[in-house]
Parts: sequence; structure tokens; C-alpha cells
Amino acid sequence: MSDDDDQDWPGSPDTKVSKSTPDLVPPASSRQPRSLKDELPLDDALPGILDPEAEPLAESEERPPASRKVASVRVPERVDERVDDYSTWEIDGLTAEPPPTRKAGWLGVERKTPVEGTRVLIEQNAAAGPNVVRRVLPEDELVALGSPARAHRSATFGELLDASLSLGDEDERG
Amino acid sequence: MYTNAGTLSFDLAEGLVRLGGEARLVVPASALMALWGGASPAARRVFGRALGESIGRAAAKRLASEGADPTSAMLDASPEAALSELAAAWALAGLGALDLERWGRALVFVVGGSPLGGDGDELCEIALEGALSVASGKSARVVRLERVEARARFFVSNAGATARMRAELARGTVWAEVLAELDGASSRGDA
Repeated sequence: MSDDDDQDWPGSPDTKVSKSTPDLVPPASSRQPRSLKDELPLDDALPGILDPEAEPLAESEERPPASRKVASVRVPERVDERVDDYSTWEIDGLTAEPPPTRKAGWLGVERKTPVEGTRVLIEQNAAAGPNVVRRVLPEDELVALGSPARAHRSATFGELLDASLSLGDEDERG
Repeated sequence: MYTNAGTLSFDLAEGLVRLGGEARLVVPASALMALWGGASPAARRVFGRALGESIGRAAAKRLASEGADPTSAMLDASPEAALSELAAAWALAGLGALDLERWGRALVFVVGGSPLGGDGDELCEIALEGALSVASGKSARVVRLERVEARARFFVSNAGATARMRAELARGTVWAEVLAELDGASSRGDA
């Protein structure tokens, strides 16, 4: 965790929220008398402040219900209000668009549904072992030399004998 | 592959041994060496030469196809094929295992395990000359370079080179140095 995680983010609510319908009846476990303000719906408790027709706030900004019944603990989604929504950016006249779906701009290879006749049926037969498909060499030439190499011909016995028989001949001539 | 033309056959009913149609004798090595020791140098040379020519003829005959010249077949054969046939004929004569080494341009034959031992090196020397001369049609001379236990090395060359080798060996020169000098002189061509 960085230090930024510990700072208070604007608009960050308390961590305990509930989606349940506000319950006007205090829970049975509650022994303490409560004020009437806590038992009223929020819009009734704050007349003129909350617009009942307004869109609901983001989930992270919902306030805990009056019943104080906690349905779950949520990690708040931290939104930096200083950063604009990138989806509203306009760069060089191009506005952000949702990523293309496969139908509208898909350049990949569509997976085809296998045809029934082309399926390879694999039958397990442990006793007989697998049916091995053996490879064969292609009939065509795989390698072609651009320039033929000089064929190496080993010396014959006669050539070797001639070389040995000629040893020292130059000595005699010199 | 050793063909029937070079097969050593024993006809027990007739009491004959043949190699490629040529009659052979199976004699004890000790008896042969006794005869060798009592013979003159000229007689040794005649005997050894005849023995080698028989070996070379049999080897070249097996290398040649039907109707082809045996000498050309030996010269055109690969060193391995030629050695194989020569070694086979050499072995059928009971003279040991024949191998071939190349020291630069020099050919050196190696005879291993000959039953004649060191006393038979001169016979091997002369027999190799006869075998190579007949098989190749070229005049070849052979000199023994060294013997190490059961292996003896024989240098094949012309008369001048083998004579120089003999003289250097008599002076105690290492044969490898002489071979190197001969090979170097031939390579430069200006020695």
C-alpha cells in the first residue's frame, strides 16, 4: 500500500452500505432508544436537499441505510475527480468509442464449427496402444544448392602408389 | 568381398591345396626358414619374388571384373579395396596381417603377426616387392623400416629412395626423418 491509499479521497463514503430497503422497525437486538431522525427515510429527513427524481448516486457514494443493517463490506472505488472521464476526451477530433466487437471490425480468424465429417474420433484402447501416424519424407526436393560444390574424389591406390614411387626423384635430378 | 577366384581349397581326396587354380604347399614355417637361412642372396630373392608375385596376381585377379585387366583394376581401386585384396592374399599365404599407412606421400605397409618373425622380414620385404610389382605393373622397391615386437614396417618407393633409406638406417638415422626429407624434397620439387 502506498501513501496515497491512506489519504481521504473526495466523495469516498463510509465503507458500510446497504442495498436493502430501509427498515423503519428497529431490529430486535437493538436495546437503545433511537432518535426519530434515524428512523426516517433519508429523503424525508432532508426535505429539499435530496431530489427524489434524481438518479441514484454511485454505489460507492451511497450512504448507509437508516436501519444500520449492513449487507456487505465494500472496498470503495476511488475516483479522482481531478481526472476527467477519459471516455469524454476528444483527441484530434476523434472521440472515444467503445472497442469494436467481432461483428463490427473483427480482424481475427473466426473459429468455425467443426463439421461432423471432419472430426477425428479418438478411441481409447489401452491394450492395443495408440495408432501412431508415421511421417514420411516429402517426395519433392527440400534442399537445392545454388552452386554445386566441387565433388571430392578420393585418390586411387594407383595414385598413392605413384606418389610414393616418385619420392626422391627431384633429389636425383637436382 | 572374397570371391571364389581367390578361395583357398583343400582337396583331401587328391591331397591338393589350391588358390585360384594354382597349386600351393602347406609347409611348416620353421622348415621354410631353415631353407631360407641356407639359401644364397640370389636364391632368396628369386624365391621371395616368386612368392610375392603369386600374392599380387591373386589380389589383382579378384579385383578385376570379368574380362578386365587385373593391373588396371588394382590401380583404379580405392586404397581400401586394394589393401583388402592384398591383405587377403597375404593372409592366405600365411604371412601375417597386412596393413597400410600413409606418411605424407609415402606408403608404408605393416606386417603384423608373421609366423616367420624378425628372421622373415627380408622375405616379407622381397615378397612385397613382387606382389606390388605384379599387381600394379610398376617397378616397386621395398625396404624394412623397423620392427616393434610383432609388427614390422616396410617403405615402398623407387630404387633411389629405398637405397637412400637403407643407407640412412645403417647410419642410425630415424626413418621418419628420412621419410620427411624425401617427402619435403618431392613437395618442393627443387631440392
